[in-house]
Amino acid sequence: MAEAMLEIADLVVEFLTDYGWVRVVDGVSFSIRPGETLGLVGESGSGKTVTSLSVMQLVPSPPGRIAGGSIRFAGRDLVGLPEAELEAIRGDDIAMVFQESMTSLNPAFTIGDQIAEVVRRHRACSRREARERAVEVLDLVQIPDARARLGAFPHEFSGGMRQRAAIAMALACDPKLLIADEPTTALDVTVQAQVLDLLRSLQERFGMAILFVTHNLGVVADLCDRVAVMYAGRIVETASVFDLFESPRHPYTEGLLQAMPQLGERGQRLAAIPGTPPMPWQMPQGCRFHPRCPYAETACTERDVRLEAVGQERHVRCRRSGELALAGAE
Amino acid sequence: MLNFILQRLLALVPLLFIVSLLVFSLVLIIPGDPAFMLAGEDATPEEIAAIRADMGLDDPVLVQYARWTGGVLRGDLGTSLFSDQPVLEVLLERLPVTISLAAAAIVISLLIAIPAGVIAGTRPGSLADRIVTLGASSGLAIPNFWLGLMLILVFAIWNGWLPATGYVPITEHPVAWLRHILLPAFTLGLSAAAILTRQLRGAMIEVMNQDYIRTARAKGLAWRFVVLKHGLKNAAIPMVTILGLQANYLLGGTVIVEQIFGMPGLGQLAVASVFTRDLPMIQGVVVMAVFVAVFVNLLVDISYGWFNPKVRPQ
Repeated sequence: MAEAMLEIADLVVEFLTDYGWVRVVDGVSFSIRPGETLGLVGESGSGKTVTSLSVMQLVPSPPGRIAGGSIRFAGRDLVGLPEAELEAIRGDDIAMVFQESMTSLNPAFTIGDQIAEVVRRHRACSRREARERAVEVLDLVQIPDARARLGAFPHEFSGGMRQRAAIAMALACDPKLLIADEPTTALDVTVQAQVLDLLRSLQERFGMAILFVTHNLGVVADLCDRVAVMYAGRIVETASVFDLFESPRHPYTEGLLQAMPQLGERGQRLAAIPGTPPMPWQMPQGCRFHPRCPYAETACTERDVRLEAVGQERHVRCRRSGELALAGAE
Repeated sequence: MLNFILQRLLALVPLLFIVSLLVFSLVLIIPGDPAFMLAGEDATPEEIAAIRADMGLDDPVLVQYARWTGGVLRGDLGTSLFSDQPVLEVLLERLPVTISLAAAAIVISLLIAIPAGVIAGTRPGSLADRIVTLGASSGLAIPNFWLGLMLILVFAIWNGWLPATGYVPITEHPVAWLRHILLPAFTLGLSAAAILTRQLRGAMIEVMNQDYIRTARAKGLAWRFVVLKHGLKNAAIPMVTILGLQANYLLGGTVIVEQIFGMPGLGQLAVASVFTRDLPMIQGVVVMAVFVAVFVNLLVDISYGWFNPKVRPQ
C-alpha cells in the first residue's frame, strides 16, 4: 500500500458564534493516497466544506480557527505552517475548484489573466510562457478555440465553461492533490456529466489525487475510489465505493443511499431521512445521529460512539453496526 | 469604445440645449438692467435706451437667445461688461487655475482615501479601522473655509513653510506651483477624501468576502497582492461613481477655496462677476463649468468599462 499523500488526523475546527466557540469539525481523520479519489459526502452543514478548506488553511479567520489535529501533506504538517510556505503550496501542490463558478472567478479580469497569474506565481516564467500555459490547460479542459478565449471575461462564458476554466486554473501547475468542493452542483445535469468525465480523464492522464466534496452519492459512485461519510462534524463511515454501496454499515449511509433517486422505480416515494441535522451548538448526547436513526436504542443516546475499524480499510461509528443488516443501493 | 464615446457625445446635445436655455434665462431672471449698470448713475434715459438698443436688449427674447447661442457655438461668449475683454479669453486665462486646483484636490483625496479605505476595509473592527472611520467622520465634519484658514495660520503664518495666497502656473515653475497648490488642494480635497474613504472601506469589506478572493488565495497569491489586485479593482467600481459626483462638487467648492487662498481661478471670477453684474461673464463661467462637468462625467463613464467589464459596450 502506497504511503498516504494527505493524512488528516483528529482535525478540530471551531467557529465563534453567538453561542461561543462551536465545533463544526470534530475529530475528523482520513487519508488520501497518490492518484486516489476520495469522496467526502454529507448533507449541508456536516462540515465537509470546512474540512476541505482546512486542507488549504483557508478557513475564514475570524470567525473560524483550527483548534486541533494535524493535516500532513507529503509528510509536512500544514497546520501552523508559516503563511509564506502555505502560499507556495496553494495552487501548486494542492489546487482547489469551488462550487460556484460564477462567483469564484474574478469578474474584473480575463480568464487568461487569471490562469496565467497562478502559473507566474509558482513557475519562473515569462508573461508569454504563462499565457502559453493558459492556452494549453484551456485546451486540456476542452474549451474550444482556447487561444481566442484568453481575453474573455467570466461573464462571457456559460456555467459549464466557467467551471472548465476554473478546473484549468487549478490544473495549471500540475497539482498533486486537487480539492473539488461540489464542482458540479451548480451545473445542469448534462453539463455535470461532462465535467465529471473531464475530471476522470484528467485524473487518468495526470494521476493526481482528488478530494471530491459532494452531497451527491451518484457522483461519488461515478468518480471515487473510496468514500468518507460525514455527519454533524464527524466521520461516521469510511469504505471503498463498492463496499459502501453494497453494504453500508452506518444507518446514516443507508439513509443517504435510500434517498438517492433510482431509475425504474416510478411512483415509489423517495425515502428521505426524517428530521434535520443538528446545529453545531446543540449536538445531541451520545451518537449524534440517534434522533434521526430508525435503529436507535437507549444506549445510543448515552455514550459517545467511537469510529471503529471494521475490516480492511473500513471504519464505522455505530455501536450496532455489527448486528444490523443495512440495505445497500440496488 | 469609440462608438460608445460618440454615442455619449450625441446624448449630450439635448442636455446642452437645456443648459443653454437655463444659462440664457439668467439675463431675464437676475434683477437689474445691465444697460442701466453700464451707463452709470448719471445717464439720461435716452443714453440708457441707446445702450439697450446697442446691446440688442430691445429685441424679442427668442432673437436674443438665438444670437447668444449662435455666439456660443462659434466660441464667442460675448464681451465683459466690466473689463471689455472677450469673455472666452478671460475664462481660458482662469481655467487652468481651477482645473489644477480641482485635479490636485482629487489626487490628494485619492492619496488619502485609497490607503485608508483599503486598510480599514480589510481589517474591519480593528484599531486601524476605528481610527480611519473616526478620521473620515471628522474630515466630513470640518467646514472647508475653517480648515483653509487654519492651514494658512499653521503652515503659512506661524511656520512660513508654504505661501498663504496666490498662484504660479505649473508651466512657469512646477515647484512653486506645487507649493501654492498644496494647501488649497488639501482644503478642497479633505471632505472628498473622507467620503471616498468611507465608500472604499464599505466596498472593500464586501469584496473581500467574495468567493473570487478565496479563489485567488487558493492560487497561492499573497494576501497583499490579493487585496491590491483582486480586491481593489472590484471595490473601485462604486468609488468611481462617487468620484465623478465629487469632481462636480469639487468644482463648486473652488469658489470658496479660491476666495480664501486668493487664487485667480474661475470661482473667484464667478464671485467678482456677480458683484459687478457682469452678465456675459457669469454666463460664460456657467457654460464653462457645465462643459467641465460634462467632460468629467464622460471620463467616469469610460472608466467604468475598464473597472467593470460587464458594462463594457459590446
